[in-house]
Amino acid sequence: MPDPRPLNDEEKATYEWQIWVDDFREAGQEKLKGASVLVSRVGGLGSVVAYELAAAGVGKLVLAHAGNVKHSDLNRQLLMTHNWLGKPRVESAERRLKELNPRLEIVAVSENVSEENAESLVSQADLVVDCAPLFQERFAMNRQAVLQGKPIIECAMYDLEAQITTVIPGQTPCLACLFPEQPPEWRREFPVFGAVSGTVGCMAAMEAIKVLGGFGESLAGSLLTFDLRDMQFAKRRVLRNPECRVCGQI
Amino acid sequence: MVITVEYTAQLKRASGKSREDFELADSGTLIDLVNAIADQHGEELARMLKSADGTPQTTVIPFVGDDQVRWDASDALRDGVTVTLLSPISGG
Ligand SMILES: [Zn+2]
Repeated sequence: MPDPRPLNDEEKATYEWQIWVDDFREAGQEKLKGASVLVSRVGGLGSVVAYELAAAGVGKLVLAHAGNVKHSDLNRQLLMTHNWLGKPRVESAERRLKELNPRLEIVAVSENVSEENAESLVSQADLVVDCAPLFQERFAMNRQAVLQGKPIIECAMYDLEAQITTVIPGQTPCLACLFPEQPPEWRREFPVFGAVSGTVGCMAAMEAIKVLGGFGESLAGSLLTFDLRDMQFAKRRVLRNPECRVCGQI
Repeated sequence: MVITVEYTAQLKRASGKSREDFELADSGTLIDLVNAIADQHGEELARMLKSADGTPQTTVIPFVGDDQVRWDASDALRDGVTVTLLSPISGG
């Protein structure tokens, strides 16, 4: 976990209201300042994750997202703006995050996570938030996070439903324990409202803040599932797979 | 015994419903349950639940109540339980 970094006066003023959280306090804030988080991608989920982490005072964000802003991004990808249509998404994200928090260090990579770049991207962070739509990207990040012993927050949604869990390598199920292979029916495009991906994004950011700050009870070993169509929430117990190809030997 | 099945995400879309009941023999297993669902619904749901060799898709996660169970668990079911079939979903 990250080395805490002392706060300056501006930071103490900025984070005053969250430092009032009893089991977080200034010591928790110093841990966030010393922390780095990889967010991939910064779309419907990742935009909100990155924005909340920037607001909360995480010291460094590594953002990975390919492509340029399109009209169909703008119902949910809150770091993308109309005046940035046709220009790189990751630059829009960096610009918007810096407007909120100019102290934030950002490594902006205009690629999606792949088998080729996952090792390097994960090595630059203390924790990973997986917001990618394709299972190949998610499996590459999961493998590297497990190999490098870094927590990974797994979030997903479809229609008005969502799933979120926190992976602590060697202690909880990893993504490959839950989904040992590429789901045959999964397609990149799916129905989504921004309010659904944004809800999951806020929850994932809070999971990251708890794990980095060392307080509260995370979703380690549990899968939160919910459906905003009827507001049914369930916290379910998930199992490690002793034969998992990624974490079975850890 | 009567088992209530809850579908999620794409499984819900393919089945056209959130939940429904199935009547199984008292010795029924999760495999029997999946076969009963596949028999009752069309090709699309059957393909999502079963691989080409007829075994359950490993990427669909079964829960009894709030607890994940293995597909091959022989004693997972009893009268009145709810089985949730969790569809694989992703980010974006
Ligand atoms: Zn695993």
